[in-house]
Amino acid sequence: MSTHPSNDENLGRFTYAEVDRDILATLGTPGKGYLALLLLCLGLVALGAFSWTYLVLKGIGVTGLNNAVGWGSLITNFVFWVGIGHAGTLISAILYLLRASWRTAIFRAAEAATIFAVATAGLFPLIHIGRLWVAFYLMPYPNGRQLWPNFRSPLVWDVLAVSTYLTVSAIFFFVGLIPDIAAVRDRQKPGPVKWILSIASLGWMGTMLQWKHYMAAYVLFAGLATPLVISVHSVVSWDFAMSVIPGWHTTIFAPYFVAGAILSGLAMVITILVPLRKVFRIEHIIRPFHFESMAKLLLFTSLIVGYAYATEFFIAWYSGNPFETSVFVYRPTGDHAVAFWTMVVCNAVIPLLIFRSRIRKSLGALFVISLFVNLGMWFERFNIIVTSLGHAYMPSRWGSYTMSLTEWGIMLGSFGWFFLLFLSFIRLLPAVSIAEMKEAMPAPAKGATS
Amino acid sequence: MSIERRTFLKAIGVLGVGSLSGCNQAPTDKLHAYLTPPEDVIPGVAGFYATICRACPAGCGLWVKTREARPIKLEGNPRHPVSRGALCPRGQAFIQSLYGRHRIAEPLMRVQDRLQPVPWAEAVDALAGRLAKASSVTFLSGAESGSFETVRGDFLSRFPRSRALEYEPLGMTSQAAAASLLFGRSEVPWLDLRRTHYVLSLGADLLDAWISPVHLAAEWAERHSIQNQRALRLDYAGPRRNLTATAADRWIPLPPARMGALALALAHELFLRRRDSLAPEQADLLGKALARLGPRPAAPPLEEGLWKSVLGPLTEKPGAVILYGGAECRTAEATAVHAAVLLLNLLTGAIGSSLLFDAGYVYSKLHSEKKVADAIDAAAQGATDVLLVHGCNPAGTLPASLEIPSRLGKAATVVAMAYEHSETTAAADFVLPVHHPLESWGDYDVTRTICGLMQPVRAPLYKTRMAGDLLIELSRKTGKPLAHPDYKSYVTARWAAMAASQNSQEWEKMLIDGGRFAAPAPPSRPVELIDGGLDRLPAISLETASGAGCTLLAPMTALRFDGRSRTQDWLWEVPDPVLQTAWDLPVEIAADLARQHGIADGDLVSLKGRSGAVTGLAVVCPDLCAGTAALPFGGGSAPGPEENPNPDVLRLLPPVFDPLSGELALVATGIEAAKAGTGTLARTQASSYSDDRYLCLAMDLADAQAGRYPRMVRHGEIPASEAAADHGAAVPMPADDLNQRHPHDAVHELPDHPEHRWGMTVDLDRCTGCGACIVACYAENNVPVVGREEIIRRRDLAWLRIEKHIVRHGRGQQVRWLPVMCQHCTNAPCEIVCPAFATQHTPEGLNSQIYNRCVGTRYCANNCPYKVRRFNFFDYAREVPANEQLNPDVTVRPRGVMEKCSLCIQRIREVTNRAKAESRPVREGEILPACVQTCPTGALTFGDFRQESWRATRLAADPRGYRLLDYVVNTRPGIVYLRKVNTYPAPPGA
Repeated sequence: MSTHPSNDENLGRFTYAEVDRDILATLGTPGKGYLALLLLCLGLVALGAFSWTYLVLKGIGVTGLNNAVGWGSLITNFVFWVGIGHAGTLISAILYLLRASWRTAIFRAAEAATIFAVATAGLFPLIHIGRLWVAFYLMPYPNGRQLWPNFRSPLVWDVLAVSTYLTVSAIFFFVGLIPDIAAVRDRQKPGPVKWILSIASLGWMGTMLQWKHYMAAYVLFAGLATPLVISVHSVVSWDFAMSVIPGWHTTIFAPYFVAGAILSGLAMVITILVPLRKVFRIEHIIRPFHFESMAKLLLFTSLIVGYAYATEFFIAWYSGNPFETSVFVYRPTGDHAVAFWTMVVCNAVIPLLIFRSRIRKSLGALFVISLFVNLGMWFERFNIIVTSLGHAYMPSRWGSYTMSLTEWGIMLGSFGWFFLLFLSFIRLLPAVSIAEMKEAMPAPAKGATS
Repeated sequence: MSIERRTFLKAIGVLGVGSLSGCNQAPTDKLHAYLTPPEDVIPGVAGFYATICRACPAGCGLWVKTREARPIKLEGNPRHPVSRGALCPRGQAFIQSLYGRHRIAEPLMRVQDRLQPVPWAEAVDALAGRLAKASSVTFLSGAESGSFETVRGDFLSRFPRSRALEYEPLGMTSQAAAASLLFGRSEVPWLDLRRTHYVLSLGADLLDAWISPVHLAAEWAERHSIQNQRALRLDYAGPRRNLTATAADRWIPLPPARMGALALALAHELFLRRRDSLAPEQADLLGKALARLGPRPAAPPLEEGLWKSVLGPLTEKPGAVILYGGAECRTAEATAVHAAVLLLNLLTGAIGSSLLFDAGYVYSKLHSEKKVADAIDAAAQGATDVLLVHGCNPAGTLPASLEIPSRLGKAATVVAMAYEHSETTAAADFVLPVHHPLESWGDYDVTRTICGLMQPVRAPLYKTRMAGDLLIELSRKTGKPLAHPDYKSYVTARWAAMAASQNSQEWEKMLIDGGRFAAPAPPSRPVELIDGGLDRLPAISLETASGAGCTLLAPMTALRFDGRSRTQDWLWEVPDPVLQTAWDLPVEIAADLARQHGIADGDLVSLKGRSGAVTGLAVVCPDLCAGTAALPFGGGSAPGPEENPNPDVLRLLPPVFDPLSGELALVATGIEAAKAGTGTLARTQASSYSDDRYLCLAMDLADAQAGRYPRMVRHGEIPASEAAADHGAAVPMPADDLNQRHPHDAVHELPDHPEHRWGMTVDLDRCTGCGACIVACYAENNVPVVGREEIIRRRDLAWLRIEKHIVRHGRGQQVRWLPVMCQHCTNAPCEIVCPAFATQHTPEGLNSQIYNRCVGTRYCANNCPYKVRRFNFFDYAREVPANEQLNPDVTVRPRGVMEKCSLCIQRIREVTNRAKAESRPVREGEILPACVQTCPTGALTFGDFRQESWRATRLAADPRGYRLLDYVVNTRPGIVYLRKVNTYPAPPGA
């Protein structure tokens, strides 16, 4: 196993017992702050649910959408949340296969964020369609009329790609959890919780044979999940790239979207972990070194995204296509210029600060940068969707779009929903992998068995 | 567990009842109008009944489409010589007034200064009591002819002093006055454009809202068409770039005050040239008349080149027609200008060939605004005992400064016979609701030989009576019965007298034809100048008075007319073509005024005149003559669009009349314009500029005649200029060119069209932008009205729109119209992206939309390059009884689904099914989508591109043809556009 030269030092020195104690402490009785946060999230979810109900009862007209701009904040949020759901699997699967051992302290939380983000994203196609009650037409289900979805439609690819990604990520997440669930189980007094955890841990005893099979399965799922990280956002990008709309119809979209997704995913992981390690006092387990590694990856993807922005403009000019040119003049100067410049500054300029090692090593600075990237990535999707639709082929039908209150409610609800799931997760399951932490520990610590 | 058979059946029964009672079934008791229908009413089969459109005095023939005894759609009667199968937008919307929410449901009587509903008997008795004592009765109505004239005459003859006045806000009384002075004939001549080679219109918007828009537009289009080698050319001189100005070969911006000078200069010039060929006596009279009107101007009133090019067609061939008299040019010297124009027409020889006197044109009988105002004044002063008003709205069409409502209030007895509430009914003492014209018997003679017959097409919706019956009953109640017991007998008696033979088949034939028609013949007695009234001819003012303030024009537009159609929602929802605004009636402000006062589009602007002030939303019009503001008729609040009361031009117009004819001047001076705030305009079109996109194309006539057609552009090539911008349609048709393969097509299979390929051609050279097609589409396809706020949010549901394109044209700009509907692409971007197959290409070439399969992702609308798809953002309300107008052949779409033009698939299906049942192929012209059916100029042609001989296929192969955006998106549309042809090359310059 190749490890980082300073790996041992960066991981710190604990005994197995200390690992167990510190990580499982997050599962203890919740404090007031936690409850308040939980309540806030519940409130937001209620707001979102109310807004969605209102939308279903009245019609899509309660959004700011119109016949010029048919997609707006709802699809923006969909792509945003799918994007957030990228870092987790990247960190847990790809970095696992690459043996980047710095992932151990953070991959569990990142993976959870992935699943919850995709679960949040999955709601948006349902919210945005005009007739929720016939949403099942989008699924390939056997029926008497032998009527299938249109497999030429990128939206069907989308349904398949996102649901596959969600399934595989969830299985991968669960497989990784098995030894840790067993560890939680072992500390439980007999009762219904222990009973549930016993079933969930699939009878994990930690025998050598179990570990052998477990490691094989983990590699297998990591291998399965890896191409999905690339494919799912490529497919999402094809929702746009496969159309004929100037500003959408471009071959750069798949790599551009994947890079953007990883950028946004990493930003969200940093946003979550910085307060998390503080609140649960696991600073010694999730250390600045981990953040520095993520920051480097964030910088890398930010450079790719910045390059993609520039390429789009170059091609629009180089093609000499008046339709294309018009959209790319409209973006930085038109109705939504603020969205465009927010996107450029947050995604391609602010992350450049990471080049400075002082900033890279400052958790506060990284936290702020991650917030900017989150914002910027939301506006990236908004910018792509709204400005292209509102400025397409027929100048007579150009239009603009503003988010309605209902859409704000739904968007806030989606954040509430995501953090509600995440807050519940860190109370119910270990947010840092106990098994992998132990595995990564230097030999002397291993000797001091609990 | 075992279940007994009985238990099972019980359970099933209970379950079944339970599940059925859960179904919320709509009440069905009034789904069909008949319990036992008459033999000729077949459920599911439409019946057509001929009658006359009474939305303006033009008197177009209608075919009313009824289903299950309910009228659902109006179409032009192809046998009627005025409309020839077409209708204008207001004609299409006329059916909305039948089902409108402003119909008067029961009689009203003024009791203690309030209009109270009363039973019919009470109202009639009370009125009969007053009539019995009345000695002086005035009957004021809109243009009426035929049987109603007779019954009105009979009714009035029972009173010692009585008179009948007919009044239309767009009358031509000045022309009649001028003709009376010159020729001794107080007449408006019938206009026939089939024999002339040139029309010079001085402000007469003959293709927009003038005396007979459908008729004149059709005649213009036919002879002006490129197929007819531009046999007719049209120059329009006017202050506003209206529809006529954009369709004309040339638009000469000319303020109303200078029209007289131009007419006079032309008349003098022609007189100099023609003098010797005239009979000496006539020449002397002509000279005398011209001298009365004014001296020959030292310099021509137009710039040198233009002057010559206008004089050319006037002199080179006899028969050129000069027209004058549109609302936006009606000044207080209209009679003098009309006189000059009539002299011009006499000199060109148009009188007698294109302008036919002695035709008995319905406009000839109209009375001027001054006469109407005087009659109302007389009533207010007690000189008239009873004033009956029918079919016109003096309180809502005469200037507010005349204070018509308060004068009506002072009159002893005012009886309003109307089917809709209006300012006049609000001021009346008796409001007697009459049948809507679609519920009435009657007739309407446009000229002496064009006689239209009206028949009721449904049972009356409300407790109303036919106006004629009401007069008969009132007479009977006053003890002086009329000749016939009911109005229908008046009609049948008159038509029996007119019929060639007296058998019932003749009557039926006239009913089916919608009347008896013959072309007006030239007069037996030649039209000559007489020396009776020449001395009374006034002089035309040659100096334009430049006072303070701006000039105000009060135009009438195709959608607004004089405001009488403002209760019809479709006409508000459909945007004004020139301004592209819906629901709003903006104040048009000339560019210099806007600069001067700092007014921009959408600002609130206040106009102040001597007699009143209004505030409205401004649109800056660079095409409006300097120092001019225009506010079309049709504003005012009662009744109209409740959400947005529009400014009423009548509040600004001073009571200025032409001294000779008494015609109201519609051009006011000394109006102060000022910015009064900001607002939001409800516009349907975002931008009119698309030069580098090659959407709305034109070419020069010289090129077309020489066969120099633009080069084809390959797919993906960016055209360098308009001349090169073309693609596709030059491929020979119909070797199913729509299936021709491109090199790019290797990746996708294109659908085959084995039997039919339905498609349409749009001749931009014929389109005048009037918008009749849009209204027809609303009526046919149950397109909901969304209202002003939703239009501002860009959620209009129009399946068909007419885009305004402002295109660089030499040193000037040209306005072109582009009707855009679903293009029915062979390679449709919308079809590929729909995840649910809710939009599909049919084997007959249609892009179909399956509403009940639609999930509402809106992906198809996003991916449509033409942006023709419309989403149902809400469930749109349909009021009772307006829902009776819904076409049962077309699904009413619920919220959440996408919709768009279907090329009227229900009409295609009806005909193909019938053809199949009769084992024959579909015949050409059998299928007419609603837009094609109503187009007055024949700009739209529907057809099967697989049928080589069909007109549509031949037109699609025209080298003028091109397909919208095909060169860039490779959609292979089934709609082929034919370039507009510019008669004159672009003026040189940048």
